[in-house]
Amino acid sequence: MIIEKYYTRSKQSVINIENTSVKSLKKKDISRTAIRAYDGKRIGIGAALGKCDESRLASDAKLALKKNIPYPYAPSADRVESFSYLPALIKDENFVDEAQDLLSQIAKRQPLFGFSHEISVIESESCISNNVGLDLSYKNRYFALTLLLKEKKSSNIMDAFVDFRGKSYDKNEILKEIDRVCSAFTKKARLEKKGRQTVVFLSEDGLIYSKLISELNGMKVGTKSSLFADLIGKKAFGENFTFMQSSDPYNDQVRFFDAEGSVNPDYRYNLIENGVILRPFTDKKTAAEYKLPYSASAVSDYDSVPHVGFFSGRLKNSGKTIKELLGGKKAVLVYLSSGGDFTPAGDMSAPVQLAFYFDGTDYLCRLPQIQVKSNIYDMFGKGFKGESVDKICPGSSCGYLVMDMDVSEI
Amino acid sequence: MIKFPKNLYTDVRIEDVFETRISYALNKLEEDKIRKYAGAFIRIFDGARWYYCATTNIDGLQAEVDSLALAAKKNLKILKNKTVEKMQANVARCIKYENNSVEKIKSDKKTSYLKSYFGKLNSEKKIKMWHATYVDRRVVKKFFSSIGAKIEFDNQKCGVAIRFDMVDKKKNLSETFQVCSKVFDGLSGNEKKFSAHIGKCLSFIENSVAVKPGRYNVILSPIASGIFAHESFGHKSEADFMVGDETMKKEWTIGKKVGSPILSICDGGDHRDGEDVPFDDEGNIKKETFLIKNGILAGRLHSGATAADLDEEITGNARAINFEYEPIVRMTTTYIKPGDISLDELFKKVKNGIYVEKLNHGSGMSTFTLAPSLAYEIKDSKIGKPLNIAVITGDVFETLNEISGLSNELEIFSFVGGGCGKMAQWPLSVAFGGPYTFVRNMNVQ
Repeated sequence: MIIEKYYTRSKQSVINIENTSVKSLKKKDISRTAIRAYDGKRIGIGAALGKCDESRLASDAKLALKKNIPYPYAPSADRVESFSYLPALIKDENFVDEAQDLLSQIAKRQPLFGFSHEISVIESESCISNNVGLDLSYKNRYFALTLLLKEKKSSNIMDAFVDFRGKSYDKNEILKEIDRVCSAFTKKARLEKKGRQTVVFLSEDGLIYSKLISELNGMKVGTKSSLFADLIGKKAFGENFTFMQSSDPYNDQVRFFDAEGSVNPDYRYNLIENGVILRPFTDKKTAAEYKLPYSASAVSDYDSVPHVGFFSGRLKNSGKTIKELLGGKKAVLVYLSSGGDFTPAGDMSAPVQLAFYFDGTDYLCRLPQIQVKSNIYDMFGKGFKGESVDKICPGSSCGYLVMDMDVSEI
Repeated sequence: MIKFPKNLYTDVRIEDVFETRISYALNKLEEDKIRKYAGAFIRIFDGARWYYCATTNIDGLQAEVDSLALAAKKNLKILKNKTVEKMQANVARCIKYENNSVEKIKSDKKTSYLKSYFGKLNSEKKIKMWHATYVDRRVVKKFFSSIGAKIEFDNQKCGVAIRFDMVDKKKNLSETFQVCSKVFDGLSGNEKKFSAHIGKCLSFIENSVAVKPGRYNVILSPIASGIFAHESFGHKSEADFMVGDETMKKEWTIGKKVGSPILSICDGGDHRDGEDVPFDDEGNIKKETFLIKNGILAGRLHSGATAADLDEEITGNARAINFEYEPIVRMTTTYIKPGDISLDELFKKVKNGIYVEKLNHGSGMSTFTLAPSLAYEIKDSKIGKPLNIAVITGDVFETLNEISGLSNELEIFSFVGGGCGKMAQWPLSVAFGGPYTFVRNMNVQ
């Protein structure tokens, strides 16, 4: 019998901000442990939160085999690898003072705005090991700041945001980015042109990839219920569009193994290459059941049976800066868009609550609320220009994504 | 018994949780787990700042409280603090589900109930993939505070969530079906409803056409009305966004006209299918609150801190998704009050337009959005062909003033999957509903 331990720990210091001042400090340190038992046909799991007796969890796991949850796949084995990046960010004892100092500077520089939400230092740890030579561990500490901005005279709940998630804390870069957003926000302009034009998204905008990820699920492709079911191996998107699953801890701040303890070579796995849909993403079960290539794409709660899921992706970079991608012209930057969606056929429509004109360096002015429309095959096909090599600011993992779309005022 | 530090406000919330999750995909068992755990959230307030700690170390709560108190500054006048003065010192035991706890139902019975849906899923050839999940959750909360609160209460939900993908020729449809009850016995009798839903989805995929974008008169179903109320106005009624903001206080003066005179929106209340929140996560009694009454701004949702800041009454709306989070102002059961005309009469008001039956999701800022999964044209006041719509959007206040008819029934919906998200806290269990609602001039894309 193979016995496997799956352990996660999340340690956080979170400062909550209200009216550009520190409102609260939260400390959280929660660990979760699961012991999985595999008998070659089935999986059983025993799990607990916090401190626990692992031998009891192992007994629970063996007992849980009687639930007959099928798992006729070989657990991952014979790999030892660890990743640990624990930069000194802000000392615990200085965290509140540092946050208050940052907020005081923001308040001085941007007196017309109020700021809220949170600043965190997050340490996450994840390990998976078993008695057939698997021992993978991942530890990462990072700084996260999400500030919601509201113009003091505005009657909106929020007007804009600034979001950082990075391996370093650089106060000057944060202040510069806040200045850039606030400065453009106060300059109102009209949408100069309606119809198809170049649109820039922040690369971490969840809506953009949502349909792509949903339709690339191995189970949907395997059961022929995916929009892409008949397009595997065919060119569906632009030559310049390559989309991969990436679990590169050095670049993506993400665990390098999946929930089944599998690791892809170079931590990457191309799903779409030069516009051709190569394959869907799969876990062991999906790959075996539907005879699909295996992409190490299992996700799970600490106490769940691993199942197919997409946990981190990226595009092949265009190699161009945002300025180069825009070719010296200004474009519409979709800065805040909430509530958009795709139809089953892949038509996309999204209201944009905050958009700027953007020249690749500065956010020039704020546009009225607009609506952007496209179709998945056009967004990543004829309309696709690429993702910028540069990020919104140093230390951030978020770049710019450029494509042509239909734009109209709401 | 916890010894609270002097000259500080302290409260401790302990959650004992029992959860079941049984999941099948295409008839194969994927998950069968029971999760039992306890966790606690501690809050200390010194009059200026809050200090929070989430822990699973229930035996070491005293040490956690003492350690957290070291960060706070002692305040001799803490009991005179406006926020602390607002907090209620309730002493109560409100355990409703001890005798009919989902913990007492055998796992086999839960599996057997879940499997009662498989026949329909397997019999429809156009359903190519499906996941069916049974979920239950009972939480017993204990709450103690340094001002004397001592409360124990529970809530419980169980149900089934089914996701399925249909394919017809080159067309795809992803749909869901949920049933939810507070007790296990309340789940029975939904199989027919499920069959009807599958039939509706089959007809939809076979006949749906893309909508011609434009402005339409729209009738929202009770569930769509509820999501609209929650997203478009409910979030704006959460008073935490007004704290210390003079513009917002002026903008959101009680008594201001914000919608059509036939529109009333409430949060809370004792509904069979609503959220069961006798006390919030600050130990305050949950009240029913009118947010809009006859088109006039009538109230808002509060925690202790927001009620103190705005000098209004506490409403018992401070909620946390679980023991790892602090309570923030959230909704419970948000609904539009029904009107006085029948559904037939309501449809007669719309000669041509769109009927929205079911939504994938909604969102609400100054512009709200609704993403319909099942929508239909209305032709000559009758439901016509199914329409594929990406989103319906509009300005919240313009749209609230465009509400032109409400049917006379009220349906409230609870769910076992998904929930409401606010800041980092997702998903919070909420309920919503309303009557059929006629809204003029909506932007359909």
